[in-house]
Amino acid sequence: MLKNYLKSFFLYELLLGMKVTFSNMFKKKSTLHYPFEKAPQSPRFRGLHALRRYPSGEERCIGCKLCEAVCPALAINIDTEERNDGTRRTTRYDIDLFKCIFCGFCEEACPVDAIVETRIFEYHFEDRGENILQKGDLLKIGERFEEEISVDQAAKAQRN
Amino acid sequence: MFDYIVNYFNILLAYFNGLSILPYTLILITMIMVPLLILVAYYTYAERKIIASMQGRLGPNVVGPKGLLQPFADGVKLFFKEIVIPTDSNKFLFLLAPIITFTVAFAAWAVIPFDSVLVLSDINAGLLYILAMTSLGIYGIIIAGWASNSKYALLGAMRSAALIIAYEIAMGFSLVGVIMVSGSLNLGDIISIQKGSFFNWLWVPLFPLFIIYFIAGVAETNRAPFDVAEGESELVAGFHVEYSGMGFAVFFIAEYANMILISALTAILFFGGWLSPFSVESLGTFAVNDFTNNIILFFINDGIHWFILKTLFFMFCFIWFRATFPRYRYDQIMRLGWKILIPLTLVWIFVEMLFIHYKIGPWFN
Amino acid sequence: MDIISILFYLVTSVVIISSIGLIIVNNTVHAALLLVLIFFNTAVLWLMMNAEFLAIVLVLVYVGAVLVLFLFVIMLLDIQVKKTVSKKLYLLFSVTISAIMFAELYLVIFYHDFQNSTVEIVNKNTSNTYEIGLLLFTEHIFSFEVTAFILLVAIIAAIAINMTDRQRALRQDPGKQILETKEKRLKILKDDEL
Repeated sequence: MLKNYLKSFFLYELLLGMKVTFSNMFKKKSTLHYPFEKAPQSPRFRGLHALRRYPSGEERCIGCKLCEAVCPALAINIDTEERNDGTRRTTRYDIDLFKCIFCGFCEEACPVDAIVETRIFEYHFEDRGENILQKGDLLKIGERFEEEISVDQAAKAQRN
Repeated sequence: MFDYIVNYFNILLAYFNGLSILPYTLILITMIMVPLLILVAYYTYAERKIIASMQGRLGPNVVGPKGLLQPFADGVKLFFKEIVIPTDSNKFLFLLAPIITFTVAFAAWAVIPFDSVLVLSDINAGLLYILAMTSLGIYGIIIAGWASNSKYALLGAMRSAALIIAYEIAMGFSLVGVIMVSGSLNLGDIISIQKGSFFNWLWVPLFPLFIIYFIAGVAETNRAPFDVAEGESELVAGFHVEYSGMGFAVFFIAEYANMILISALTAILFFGGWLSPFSVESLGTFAVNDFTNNIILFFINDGIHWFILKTLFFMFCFIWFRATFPRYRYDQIMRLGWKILIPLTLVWIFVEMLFIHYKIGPWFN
Repeated sequence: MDIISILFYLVTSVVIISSIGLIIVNNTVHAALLLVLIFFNTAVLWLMMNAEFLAIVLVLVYVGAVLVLFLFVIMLLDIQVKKTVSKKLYLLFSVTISAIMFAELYLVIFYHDFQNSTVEIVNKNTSNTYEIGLLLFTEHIFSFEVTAFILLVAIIAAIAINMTDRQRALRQDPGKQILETKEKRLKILKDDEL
């Protein structure tokens, strides 16, 4: 009791705290200079989405709507139709990035590895509505980053 | 070398003396104001840097080398921002409030002695003048809170007003201790009775009062851990929520100027202002004619650099506290002010009274 | 006219105008702020009479503390400006009271011979702070102590009024909170104790 009073009277604990902050002042800083330095990413990094194509150019997505069903944030909207050759394909594939929580469930649910999450995390919108990625946008991203995506997919497969 | 600078300065002063009193005073005021404003600018930079390094971060490092131009970038940004006046607010008082805060924060510097000769106005009741000026600063806060027509601003202003009134008493009482020793309200006199060495300064006999004064000073300037007036988690930003652009900048500058003022006052009242921590006897070992010795001698002797060093140390303490302590809860602050600090000062004033009566103490030689 | 008298007229006119404004304005906050202006300018007047101690104490005590509390209360109360109930009655009372006060002031100012009252010129070398202290603790020690005692009683009374329903109020006691220790609150259980 008395010890406690004396401690608080002589600001013992405050001085202790000040010692901690002072000693931390000269420690090496672990900050990355972000735009110039970037932290390493895992091949399983979950960034912006992409729709992939087969090497033949045929889109992988078969419109099974498993991703739509599994999406916990209800961010995915899919419409499908029968194509002339009798296969089922999507006519609409929208991902609302404001709803998306980047959990990666869609990627896991996909039986044909069509929807994937890329390593892109630096993106922005300039207009309303741009937050909804449509099928064309997703395919474009997929085409552009196909090399990186396929390497990552292989790495993921190995891990499993 | 340094003697020449001082000499040149004195010649300059003598020249200005010949001019009529008004421009002369104005020039002196700018000579205090401009370095002070630059110091304020770099104090904000230092705060960000030091707190960052204490928390394992880097702080501003992009604008200019090592981020040294950051304060100017901030200043330019704030200067060009739109001043938003809230609806149904009292426009006149809303614009008046930052001006009051700013004026009062800088008016107090008039009586601060930087050196044995460098003081703008060497009035007899200097200490009281400073107390009066710092107590006026609350008007800016309270008017800003009321005129903003915002609940948060009003609550922040109320908190800040209650805080300042409570801690001003503790502050005043700890100054009573200083006045009892010095027998004068003149800041120059208060420093001159501390002549001697490090252990002749007033912090030794008045140690509790020094601690209380500094705590009260931190509370008066609404700084962490006493920044309930700001309380961003519950009050957004306290009394200056509604201020944008220059209005905010002026409040900001005034707050930092007040912090520097409290640091300077602590250095003057308890740490001997411009006095050197080394006693005069230890200076005899240096040969007079040697150039390097002369420089060392200049630095060891009393002078404005000691005052600046001491002030910088206490300014660092302000930042150090902010980096270390979490914010007090409001009732804890009131308890600390009224129930602990004020009784403590009264006890120590009594002890000091006994000191003086029995003539024990370093100031009786 | 030298600069001192220009300053004097400036300051006094500010005092008079803001005093009139104080009575006229509807907004209580404005009134309180005008009072601040009055006190401040009065302090300047005293400063011009070399009474620097009194001037600064006026600013420190009245402007810095008392009026802040005024403003504090006014701002928290949110007083609604009401139309006066009966203007004629108000007018009657105000005219009577001001007439009486004016007469009194007139008597004091014009029949009291200020010219002949001998002003003791204090020693110019000592500060007037010192002189005031000397007077307070020698000649006026009794009234000084009585004032102090009355103020003390007032403080205790104010606290006593405030203390009455402390029992019912929900509040935390920081004193107790500080005394809490880790040992009192925390108990580390071993696996077999679970």
